[in-house]
Amino acid sequence: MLKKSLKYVIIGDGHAGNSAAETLRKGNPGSEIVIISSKPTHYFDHSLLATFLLDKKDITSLYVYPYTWYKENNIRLRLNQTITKVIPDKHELILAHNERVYYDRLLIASGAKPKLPESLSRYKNLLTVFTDAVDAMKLRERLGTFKHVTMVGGDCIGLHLAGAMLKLGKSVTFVLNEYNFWPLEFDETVKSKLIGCLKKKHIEVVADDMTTEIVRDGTGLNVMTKNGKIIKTDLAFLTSGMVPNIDFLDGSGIDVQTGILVDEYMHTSAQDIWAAGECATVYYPELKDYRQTTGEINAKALGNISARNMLDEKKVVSLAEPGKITIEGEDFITYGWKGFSIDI
Amino acid sequence: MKEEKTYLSSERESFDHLTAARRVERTVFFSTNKKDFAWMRENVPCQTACPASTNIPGYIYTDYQERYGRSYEINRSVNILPGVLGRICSRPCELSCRHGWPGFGESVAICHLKRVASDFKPEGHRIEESMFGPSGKKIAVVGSGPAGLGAAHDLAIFGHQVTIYEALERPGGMLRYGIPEFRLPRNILDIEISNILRLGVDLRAGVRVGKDIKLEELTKGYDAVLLTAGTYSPNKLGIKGETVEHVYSGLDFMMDANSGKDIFVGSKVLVVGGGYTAMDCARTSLRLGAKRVIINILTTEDYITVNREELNEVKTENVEIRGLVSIEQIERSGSNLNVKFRRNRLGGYSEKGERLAVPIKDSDFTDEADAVIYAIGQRPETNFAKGVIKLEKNSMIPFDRSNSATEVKGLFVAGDFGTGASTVIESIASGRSAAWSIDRYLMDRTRRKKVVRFEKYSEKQRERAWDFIPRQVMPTLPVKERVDQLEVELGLNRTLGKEESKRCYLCSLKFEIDVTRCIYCRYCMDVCPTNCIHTTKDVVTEEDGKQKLLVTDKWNEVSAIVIDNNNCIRCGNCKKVCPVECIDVVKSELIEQDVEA
Ligand SMILES: Cc1cc2nc3c(=O)[nH]c(=O)nc-3n(C[C@H](O)[C@H](O)[C@H](O)COP(=O)(O)OP(=O)(O)OC[C@H]3O[C@@H](n4cnc5c(N)ncnc54)[C@H](O)[C@@H]3O)c2cc1C
Ligand SMILES: Cc1cc2nc3c(=O)[nH]c(=O)nc-3n(C[C@H](O)[C@H](O)[C@H](O)COP(=O)(O)OP(=O)(O)OC[C@H]3O[C@@H](n4cnc5c(N)ncnc54)[C@H](O)[C@@H]3O)c2cc1C
Ligand code: SF4
Ligand code: SF4
Ligand code: SF4
Repeated sequence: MLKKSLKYVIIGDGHAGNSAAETLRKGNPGSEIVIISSKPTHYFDHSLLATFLLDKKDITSLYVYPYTWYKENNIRLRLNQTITKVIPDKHELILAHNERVYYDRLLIASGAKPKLPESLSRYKNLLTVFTDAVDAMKLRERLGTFKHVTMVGGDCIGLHLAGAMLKLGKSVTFVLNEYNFWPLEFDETVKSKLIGCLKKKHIEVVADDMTTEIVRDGTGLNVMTKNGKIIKTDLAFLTSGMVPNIDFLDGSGIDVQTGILVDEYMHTSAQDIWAAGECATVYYPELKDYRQTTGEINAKALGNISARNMLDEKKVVSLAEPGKITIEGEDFITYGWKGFSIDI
Repeated sequence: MKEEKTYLSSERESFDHLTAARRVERTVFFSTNKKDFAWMRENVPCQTACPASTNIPGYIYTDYQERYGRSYEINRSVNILPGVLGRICSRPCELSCRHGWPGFGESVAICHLKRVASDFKPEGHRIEESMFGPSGKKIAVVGSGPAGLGAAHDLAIFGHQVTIYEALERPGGMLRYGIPEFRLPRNILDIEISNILRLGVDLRAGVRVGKDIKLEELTKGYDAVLLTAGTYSPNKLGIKGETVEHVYSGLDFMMDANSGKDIFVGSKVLVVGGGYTAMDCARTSLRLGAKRVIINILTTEDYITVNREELNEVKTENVEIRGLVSIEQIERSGSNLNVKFRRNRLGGYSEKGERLAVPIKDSDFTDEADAVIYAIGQRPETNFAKGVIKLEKNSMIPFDRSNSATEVKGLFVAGDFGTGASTVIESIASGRSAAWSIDRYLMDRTRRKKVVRFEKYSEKQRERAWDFIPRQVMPTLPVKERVDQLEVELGLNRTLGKEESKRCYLCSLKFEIDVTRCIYCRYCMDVCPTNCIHTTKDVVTEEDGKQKLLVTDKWNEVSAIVIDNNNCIRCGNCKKVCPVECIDVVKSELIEQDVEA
């Protein structure tokens, strides 16, 4: 029998975390539920982030639930608090301000962060990221200060952002490598189709190449590539895909391989700890393989399944339908991203 | 005229203001008490983790003082090849460094600071070797890798006549024929090898024992023979397609590449394995023209043996790592190789503590490549010893690990040849330790021993602010410029080296409260950042000499205020506030000493 007084702690206030909280609340009304998130803003719809750049709306307009929803559902929301360590043996989390938080059952739904290729790590300070509400607010402030942007690497966040940039009258260059475009199912045919579509949108594409160096040039930047191209630009965005956000698990003993390894029940290698959403590397029995997932639909589904397992239902994960995005009327299959168009 | 340099620091000269009486107080004391060894083991975790027992705080402090030659010598006296190790050591010390303990930040860049000493030692600095008189004994060492070189060095110092038999053209073993030049420039290797040879060691290169000369001849002609012939028999995959063209063993691949041979890699290379050899094969493939290289490992990155910095460099060069896969089969199809893999999940741990991979049934998938390199370990080639000693079932040579001796009188084993593939520092330590055993065997007594050396420490203390200096990052060549064999790591410059050296807590400093003078004011406890000063009722000494504090917070039970040095970061706060100056600091170092000196 499931204990009523269980304390569920969820790391992450995104799609996976919130969907899990909702399921847990329904399944165990008497339990204590706490969501902890490192972000000062709260649960919002990422697919609207680019449109936020185009008008003067308040950031709260992107929020999925009003604050009152958490009160009504008796879910404690702790924003702007970062977990720095997980100690599975003690069922304890350590926060950046040194507080220790106990849990009976823990869900890690800490999402992903932009991948900084090791070869570009020394240029970190020259790269701009665009993944959360704070990034968007900062970027909106400085829209008047640049004309040309370069996307370093290829990913859908870059596409998403490019849509807004074009609308704002900025010119855009993509530097794409040969082998992947996160999170598209990618091969030579997809690549040429994608390049065609981008060119139709008057986006400059530097294909089959790689950014190797970024240097300041006056107020702007020079992005240099392996094939010797030098792109003069005002802003360079880091758009080389996303990687699980799991640094705080170092030393916890929880098994990871890029993301947190979970079995078909979304359970990690540590007792009473589950993981869901973009931070998890999930074992899918039908694939006989692990897969990293992304996208709103997947995060929600995985959050829900984890929660059901945290409620002692034995629920096996199943592969979500692949996602689909559309550019210039052409469809592209993704590992989970949906409902996305560059034509905003 | 060149400016006169003094390599004594101002800190040292500051003793000048002390009276002669105060200066004599700085007495030195040596101990072989097990309590003191236990203290060293527990308190200087880096030195304990170093197979050669390098006095790490000692050399980092001399780096800080900019006495680079001295720092190099502190290293060289025990690890023989500081310039080499300062580049490619596997760095077990850094995994144990107190600065890397939870809550204390990142470990000190111990290895990079070794290179700082080697890079900035003054030209023609004084090499310190104190030789024993000639013994008239002759010793043959088979193999000139780190184990053979380490042994030859110590045997020569002991006064014996050493001859190294080396099968290949030049000395160095895997340092020359395994590790690529872009990680270890050969001029550094050459200088450090010549420092050993000029002790009177005779090198016979190009002589393969077992082929050009029989081992029996050596055992007959010499007073002792040490086998340090490394591991030159690559482990096989045991799968279909292993012998297909353009499928290489990692060892052969690296040896050919390092001998300047032309090797076909094509455009896409799949490497199998997760050790140093696999990483080197991947990076060497890129330098030979491959455009895409994927390293395939059985488990995950957390369980491979290479250090994090090395892994980071591999990724910086855009090598991809694919975890949780096993290779199943290789097939040629036209100009391509079709390589079948199977997926794994993580399992439990083996007896040796290795993480296991468990295959997932029916999870096969195929990848294409132009070349496949498998680097899954290698074993010693022991055939040449068969006539002299009975081999174990697995063809290894049986020997006693405590003294490197085999059952054949006068025949000793060291390095990878004895244990199977290990690391450079383990091999050097093993070679040196075999040399000490051989000396004991030949001379019938112990002539060198380890002791703990105490010296009252009154030099300038570290500053607390230094504990917050971040680990200095190794400057490297930009990826575009990483061609041919140009060295990738550029070394910390003097400024970065100085910053890094300040980070070391100098764990060999022992902070002790003199109970007879302590007034129990507890000021020190209030300022200690790690809460490691305790009110105790007793200190008990355990069997192995380790001391345990019996802490109490009841004042009526307190018999002393004691510093738990294991959690102490040597910040000096306590010493500064103590109103009665009863906190003493003693430098305690584990060193080697001549017994009959
Ligand atoms: C700009 C942008 C546009 C997108 N557009 C689309 C789209 O159109 N369609 C689509 O399907 N998908 C889209 N996505 C992807 C989608 O948003 C993600 O896949 C999804 O948000 C993943 O959900 P999650 O719950 O796993 O993680 P997230 O939503 O990223 O949430 C992670 C949470 O964990 C918290 N956290 C992380 N580390 C810590 C820590 N140490 N301590 C405390 N809290 C921590 C964070 O604060 C955050 O609250 C977009 C993503 C971005 C960035
Ligand atoms: C590609 C590669 C990269 C590596 N990178 C690292 C690293 O970064 N860090 C690290 O710590 N370790 C590394 N290692 C491991 C390290 O090089 C070895 O552990 C170490 O060199 C072993 O020393 P050794 O003296 O026992 O043997 P070796 O270095 O192998 O020396 C043995 C010598 O014996 C000679 N020999 C063999 N048979 C005979 C015979 N019959 N007669 C005469 N001579 C003979 C050989 O030619 C050789 O010179 C690496 C190994 C390889 C292959
Ligand atoms: S802080 Fe210095 S002395 Fe202490 S363990 Fe680390 S390197 Fe060694
Ligand atoms: S030096 Fe003194 S104050 Fe500093 S950590 Fe050690 S005991 Fe504590
Ligand atoms: S500050 Fe000095 S006198 Fe006071 S308790 Fe500590 S050691 Fe004793």
